[in-house]
Amino acid sequence: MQSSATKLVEELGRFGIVEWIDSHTLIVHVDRSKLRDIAKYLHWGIGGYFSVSIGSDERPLDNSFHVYHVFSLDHLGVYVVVDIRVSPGYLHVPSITPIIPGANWHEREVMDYFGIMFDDHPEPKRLILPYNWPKGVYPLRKDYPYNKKVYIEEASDEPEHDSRFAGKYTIIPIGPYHPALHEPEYFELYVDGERIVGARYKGFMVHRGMEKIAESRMTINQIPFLAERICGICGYTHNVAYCQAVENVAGIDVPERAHYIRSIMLEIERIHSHMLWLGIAFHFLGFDTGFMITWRLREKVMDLAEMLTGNRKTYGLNLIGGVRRDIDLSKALKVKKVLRDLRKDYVDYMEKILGLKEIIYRTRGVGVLDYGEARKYSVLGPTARASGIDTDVRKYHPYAAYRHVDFKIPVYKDGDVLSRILVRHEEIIESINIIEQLLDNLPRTPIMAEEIHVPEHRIGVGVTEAPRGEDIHFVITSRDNKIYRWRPRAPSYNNIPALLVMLKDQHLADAPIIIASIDPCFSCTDHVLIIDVRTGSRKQVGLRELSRRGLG
Amino acid sequence: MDLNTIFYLLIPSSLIFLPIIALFRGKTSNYIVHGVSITVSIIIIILSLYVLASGSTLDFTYKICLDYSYPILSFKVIHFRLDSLSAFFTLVLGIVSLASSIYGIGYIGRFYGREHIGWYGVNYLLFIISMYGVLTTYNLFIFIIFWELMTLSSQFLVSYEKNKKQALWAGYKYFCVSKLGAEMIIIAGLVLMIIYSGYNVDYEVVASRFRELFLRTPVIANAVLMLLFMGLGIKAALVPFHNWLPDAHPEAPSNVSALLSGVMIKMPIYMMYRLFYQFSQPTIYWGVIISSFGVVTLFTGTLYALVQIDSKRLLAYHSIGQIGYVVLGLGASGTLYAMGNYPLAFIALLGSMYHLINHALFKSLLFLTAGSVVYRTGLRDLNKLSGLAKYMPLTALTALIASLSIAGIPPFNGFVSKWIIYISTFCAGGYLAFYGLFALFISSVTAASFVKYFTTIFTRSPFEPGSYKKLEEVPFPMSLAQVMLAALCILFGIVVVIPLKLITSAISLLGLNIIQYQYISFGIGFIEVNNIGVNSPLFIGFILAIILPILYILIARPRYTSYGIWSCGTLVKEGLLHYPGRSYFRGFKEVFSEAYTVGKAVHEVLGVTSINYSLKFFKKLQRIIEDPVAMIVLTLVVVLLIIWAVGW
Amino acid sequence: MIWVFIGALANIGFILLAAPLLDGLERKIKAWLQNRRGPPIPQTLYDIVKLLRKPGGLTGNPGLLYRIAPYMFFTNMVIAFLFIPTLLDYSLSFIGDIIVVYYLITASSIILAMGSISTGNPFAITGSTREISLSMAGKLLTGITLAIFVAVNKSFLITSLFPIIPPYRLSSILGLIVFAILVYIEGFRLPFDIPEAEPEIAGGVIIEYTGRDLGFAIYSLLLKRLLYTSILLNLVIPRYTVFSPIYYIVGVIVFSILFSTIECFSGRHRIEYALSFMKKLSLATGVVLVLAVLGY
Repeated sequence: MQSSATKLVEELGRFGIVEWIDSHTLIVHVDRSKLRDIAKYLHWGIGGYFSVSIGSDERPLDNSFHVYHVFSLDHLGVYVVVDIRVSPGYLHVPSITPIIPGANWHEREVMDYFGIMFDDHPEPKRLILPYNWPKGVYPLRKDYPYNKKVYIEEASDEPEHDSRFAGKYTIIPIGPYHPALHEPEYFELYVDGERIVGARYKGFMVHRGMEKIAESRMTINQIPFLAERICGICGYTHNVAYCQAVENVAGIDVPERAHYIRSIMLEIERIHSHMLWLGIAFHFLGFDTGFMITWRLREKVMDLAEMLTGNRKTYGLNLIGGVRRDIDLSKALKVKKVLRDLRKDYVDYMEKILGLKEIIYRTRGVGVLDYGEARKYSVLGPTARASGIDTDVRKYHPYAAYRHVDFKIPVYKDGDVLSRILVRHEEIIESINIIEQLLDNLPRTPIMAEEIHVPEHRIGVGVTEAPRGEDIHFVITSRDNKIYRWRPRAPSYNNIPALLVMLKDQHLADAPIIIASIDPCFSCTDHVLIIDVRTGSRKQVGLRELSRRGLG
Repeated sequence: MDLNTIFYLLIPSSLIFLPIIALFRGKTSNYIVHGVSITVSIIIIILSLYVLASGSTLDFTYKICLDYSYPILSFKVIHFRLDSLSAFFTLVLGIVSLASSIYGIGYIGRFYGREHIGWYGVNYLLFIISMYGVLTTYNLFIFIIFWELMTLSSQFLVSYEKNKKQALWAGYKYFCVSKLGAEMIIIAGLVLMIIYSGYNVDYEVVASRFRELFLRTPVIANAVLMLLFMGLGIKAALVPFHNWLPDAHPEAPSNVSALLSGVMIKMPIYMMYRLFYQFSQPTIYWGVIISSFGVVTLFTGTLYALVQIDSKRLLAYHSIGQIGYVVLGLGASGTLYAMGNYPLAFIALLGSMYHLINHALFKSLLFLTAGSVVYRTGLRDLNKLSGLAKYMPLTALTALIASLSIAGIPPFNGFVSKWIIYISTFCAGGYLAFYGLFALFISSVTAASFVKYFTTIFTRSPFEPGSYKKLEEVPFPMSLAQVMLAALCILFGIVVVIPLKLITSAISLLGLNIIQYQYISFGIGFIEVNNIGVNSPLFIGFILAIILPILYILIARPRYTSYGIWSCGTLVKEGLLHYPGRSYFRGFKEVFSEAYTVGKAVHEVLGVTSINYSLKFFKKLQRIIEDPVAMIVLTLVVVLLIIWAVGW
Repeated sequence: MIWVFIGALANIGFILLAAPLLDGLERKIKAWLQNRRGPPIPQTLYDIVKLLRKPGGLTGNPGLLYRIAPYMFFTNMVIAFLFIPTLLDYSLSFIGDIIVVYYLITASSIILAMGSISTGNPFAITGSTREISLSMAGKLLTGITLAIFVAVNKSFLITSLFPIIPPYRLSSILGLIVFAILVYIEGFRLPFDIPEAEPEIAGGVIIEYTGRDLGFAIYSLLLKRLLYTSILLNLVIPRYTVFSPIYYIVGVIVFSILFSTIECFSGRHRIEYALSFMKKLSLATGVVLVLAVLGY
């Protein structure tokens, strides 16, 4: 392990200067000319995968912009941050999207927020900012105050519709208000009769401006609570990821018991999230009884969460350096009892449900994402595992207490919806196992680190395995107990682009279940927006448009 | 001038107009030809109504023959007779040609400056006259002449638009199939018939002689019948001889399409009625053969119609399908007649003829509405058309009535005739009941297909809103014709007594008379003793079902709130929310693809090869005609034949 | 004659009340099976009454067809009940009434589909084409099933729908089972509620209807379900006895329980799957038909 890591450092030395940020994160400062080579080497050469890109305005520090590409090397347990310095005079970086299609959105997001252009990008359009956002205004730059208002003119023409299909095929709009989507996103399906010939995605409709708020208004210990509100389902995993990022920077020695409690809560969150998803999936397949069963079982998990943290959701449990609430023995026993019953009921019901012909028929061979496509888009979590990619942050980049437990990672090769159901199904059982193991071995230590000192202007990477996949938080610290740059990336961000591949040539009837099959968390994906300051103006536009179309 | 004189003078006097029409071009020619044809149609209607109502016949014989010692010369006896069977068909012809002539006044305006209107006029008038001739002649020889004229003139009408390659090809194909396929067989059959009837061509004589032949040597008689049935079947587009029709009918100007589909394909059916009921007695095996052809035809035609995306082509395929119903009725009545079940045979024949006149009404109306759409938009593509109801409300309404009629929705006319056919087959039991159930299934496919036809063209919002700005209702003559036919569709659906009386009168000629069979028809809703179909409680119920909702909407004027189309809260351009015709019933088509594969095989093997064969034959014939030696030999042979015949 | 008419009217009165209540019962049964408490049994009736009191909605300018479609659907269904004995044995039966019922059902679905398509909403059009495709396949199945009854009893003519007392043989019992499946399918129950599939086309056929119009559309759909069940029951239960109302009510409730239980344990089919299921069933029924012709 150690030797292969040193070998990696040597290899990466060919591309630029290599440093260790912490025990399992490398940073490589590369020149723009070497960028594509290193991206190719990391993603396609040695079996890592592209994880996230971060733009950063560091003009106050070293008078330049930076773009960081983060790669995960599962087999070495190492994250590699590729750092490209961009001088303010020439805001151009070679795009890595031609090599790794999955980087498409990441690079466009940096374009939107910082005005850094990516050369040879196949689709250099706006991703997040609305089409009528004024040109030349880049909201995440440091010279843009967080409370500045931008006035937006009403829409003149919206460059909508895929010209290859529009007019020739029927447009079936799915979203933003559609029974199959519980969050506002827009899929435009081009349908010939019952067959989908093409699809277009428009997302980023939820505007909360979290990154800017965190960077400009909040202190280090407030952000965990903000991070938890990124998502209504898997919020706690964001919280943990953020805390780990900061703890990694600061080198804080978090007590073991805190690690254990975090792991327990993460797994409880995973169980409830997967059960919620299963219920919705069954509902989309028209099998409402399955929906009722899984949600009824999920209620027990929610009760557990409430008992352990005081909240059904949004636990508010973490601070930098540890957790705020302990688990005592009586609670632990109760949890174990509930889980034992739950496992029995759950396995029982699921065996019956998965024996239903309609469920199998509706999901087998549907929405296939094969291994090659999955690698291209670097999909994560259960979606990746259903496509034959053996990846799990808990196993390959162990954090919290996962190194102390024994669990297996379900991997299926078919890449269809059924595989995704089975992966999640088995993960629920594994999670129950993990919680039981953790509760059995709960160490007797304090739950909070005593001494916390966060150094300035250092890069930290915190990663957790969210129910939907790898959740990565990238942090650059600042002085005054603040954060200079915070970029959380939810797994759905990488998974959603792969949907367009899955939807192609499928039946219209399968569209909802395919979209749901990656368990897309749209609010996770969209949270990063900065546009809350101008919601007033946006709202007017929206209402006027809506009432014009008779929807108001 | 009594009616007999009019009957006597109608054909020669209208033929006089042909050269006059040919002299003019443009508007004048248009007005003359349609003026003449309207007059002719009205006269035809009056004559046939008179005959049907009074039960008498109009008759005249014109003898130019002096010497009876040579039997072949007796051909020169020209005998025309309008009996009630002919009158029923001439009534159909009169109604449809009246509507399509009125319609033509407006529609032919499309071709001003592009095509020779006089050429159209000559053929159009000739077409109507020749059909009239086919129906009224009482003489096989004259029948052949008029039949030839009918095919010739209709062929020129099919390929009227000279610059359209498709039209020329369709005309050529039509010519090859009907001239070299159908007509040769028909003529061969008729000539054999003439020979066996001792060179007497008068229907009555032929009938009696042929019936004798049937008793004496049934093999030969059946062979002749087979030949004639084949030939007529090709002309009537029975599957598997159907594949010329969907090419030919749509290419003609729309009012001619109406005549082609509404009337011309009924001509062979007319001959079949005479053939099986006058010239011979129906037998069980003929009944089985005919009704099997009917079922196959209605099945294939309708299933193919379901997948068409060209408006007129869709209608043409439905012509095949609906002819299937007519032929099924004929076959069923044949079987029942042979089995001695005269009442049911009567009812089956009644259904067959009722459906025939209904089909003439709603199919020609559908072609006229399709023509109106072409007139205003120039489009026949169901993928591109949409939302015309707003601009052409009257056309839309008439198209809706016609669609509901052909779909057999009560209380429109299609329902009544289909109902009678089903009743006869269901009550007959046996294989006929299976056929009836099959037809019942197919009627729902017909309905589905017309949901597609109507909704794609007329409902929803326009595909390209900008391009429809100048769109308006079609000119007065065209809408008048449509309204006329639509009114008849409703009339024949609700006031069932009128057509029933007409048909009963026509059938009585074929040896089946309702008067004897009152007792059986008692229970059957419409055909009660006093022919009071309208009073039946069932019918009141239907009318309530249709009328009450309409009255509720129109009189009570319930309150509505207006909304936009719900498209999930996104802004999609109006025109892009578009559902092209080809996307309809995709799943059905895919799942029931076997039906189409089988149909396609029939299409390929029988249809295409027969056409290829006729094309080859035609080319060979052309070579012979171009070759002087062969031509001389041929002429010699013909001359010798004539001498041989005369010297009998 | 007049008593027949009054009896038929009484039947209709009963049906109008029974259809929503039966749906309420089915909802209750489904709730029990899903460990829920479920709405009270008259809930569907309350829903419909409430909907009927609200104004309808017009999307764009869809025309007369769209407006009359729900009412036409409703009147067609009510009139179809005139020809079928339900609670009481009275019906206006005559030779050929089966065709009348058949066409009333076809007409109602055609008109509803046309009205729905005329809104121009792609969801509605998709739903309508699905509905018509399903109804076409269903009509094929109907035809073959009726042919079995014809074949079983050579003297049996499908002239009048009731009373049909086919001799109970292998093929006629299989035919009845197929007919029961058909009744299930035509009622748009769960694996076959494809025309209104909520997840992808959000209500499909009835998506643009609101208020009173929606109320009538739903009411008519419930009536259609009951119509099919009644036809099936008339093939099995003895008629013209003192107990026939009781037989009828018990039969309807038994079928409600049976159908809602099946509905509870099934997901929704894809339209292709549903159609090919019906195709296969038609082929199997064709085999049964051959059996019937051979005399089994």
